[in-house]
Amino acid sequence: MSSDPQISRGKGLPLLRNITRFWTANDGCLVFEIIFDRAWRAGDLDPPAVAIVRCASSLDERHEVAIYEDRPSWFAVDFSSGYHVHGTLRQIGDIRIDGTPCLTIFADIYYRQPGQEHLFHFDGGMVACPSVALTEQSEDRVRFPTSGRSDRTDMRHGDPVVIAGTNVNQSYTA
Amino acid sequence: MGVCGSMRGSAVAIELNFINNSNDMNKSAIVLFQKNLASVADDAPIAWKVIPDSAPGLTHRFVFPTTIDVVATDAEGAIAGPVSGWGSHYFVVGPQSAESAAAFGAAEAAAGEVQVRNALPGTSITANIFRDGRLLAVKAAVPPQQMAVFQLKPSLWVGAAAAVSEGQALDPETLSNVKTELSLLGLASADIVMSGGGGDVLATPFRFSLQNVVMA
Repeated sequence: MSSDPQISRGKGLPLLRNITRFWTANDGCLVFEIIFDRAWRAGDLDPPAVAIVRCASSLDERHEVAIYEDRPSWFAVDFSSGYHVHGTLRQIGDIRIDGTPCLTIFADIYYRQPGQEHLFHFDGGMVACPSVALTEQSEDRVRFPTSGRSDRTDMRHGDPVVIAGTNVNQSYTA
Repeated sequence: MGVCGSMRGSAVAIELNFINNSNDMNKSAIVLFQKNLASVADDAPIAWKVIPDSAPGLTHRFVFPTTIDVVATDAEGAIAGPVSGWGSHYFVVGPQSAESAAAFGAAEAAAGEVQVRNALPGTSITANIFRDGRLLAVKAAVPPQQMAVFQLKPSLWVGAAAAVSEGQALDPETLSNVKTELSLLGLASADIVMSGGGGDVLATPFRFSLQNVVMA
């Protein structure tokens, strides 16, 4: 998760806790679980946020989308339940929400329910996380921008999930 | 009867500008509303704002305040309120609002929720939520000692409709034609641009999108 040598020696593990926000559509049937990567704020080379797109009726299906600040990430997912969703996700930093600077995930997505032909459209801010929540406890971290890991193993959820490749314009399937 | 509340958050108004760039020759009405995520199936969304006779080229400015007003009515038509709040709110409707609030501990609502507790003895109330002076959501027949819960995402649903009036509950047919949810999270101002439409074989569905977005 991090290139920080202190982490590799087993120190500072609490810093790896990320912050998760949820966005749902269609009465909770379509779920976007957005994980803000705290280590990214301290220089980690992983994406700043990851979206896990789930369908409540197909809990074993999880599709991961890496979200970046400098460009939108396009994705398209078809669930076995019949749900479809496609569009883009992008992170924009330090937007003031209720006076608090926040990292915000913006979406321009279309989704379709099983058995339906028409698409629903969602445009705009999906979830937000106070920037300070991601920077506290990590200000003393050392930035090693050129010493990232060779693989892309994601340890956030217990069992490792391999994210294939680094092309942001593809959807990642866990 | 009175209303008292506690709240958290800050009051702002998001400036929105509707622009009709469509090919719609029918001058459809445009309806905007919010959905109460805490509602049951019987609680239809309310047409919060209607832009009538929306012809191509039309622009229409309006605001979306973060403040809301709560008005309660009882079975005999007595009215309490309005009381304003924003962010998350906890309101108490009682014979003496201040005493009722104290009795219930002036609790704070969960984030993103508006809660209206009926502290009137022996009578049900209807809890009405207004935004910018227009009806936004209703919860009827709240029994004594029970609470109406409104969970409102910072977003507006927008679509074309026929024969719809502000303050009316939306019928299923109108609801089925509204397929766009525009998020207002973090916005200071934005254009809501309508496109699509047309009356021939090249007609496309109406599309609504945010443009010229200015963040807060």
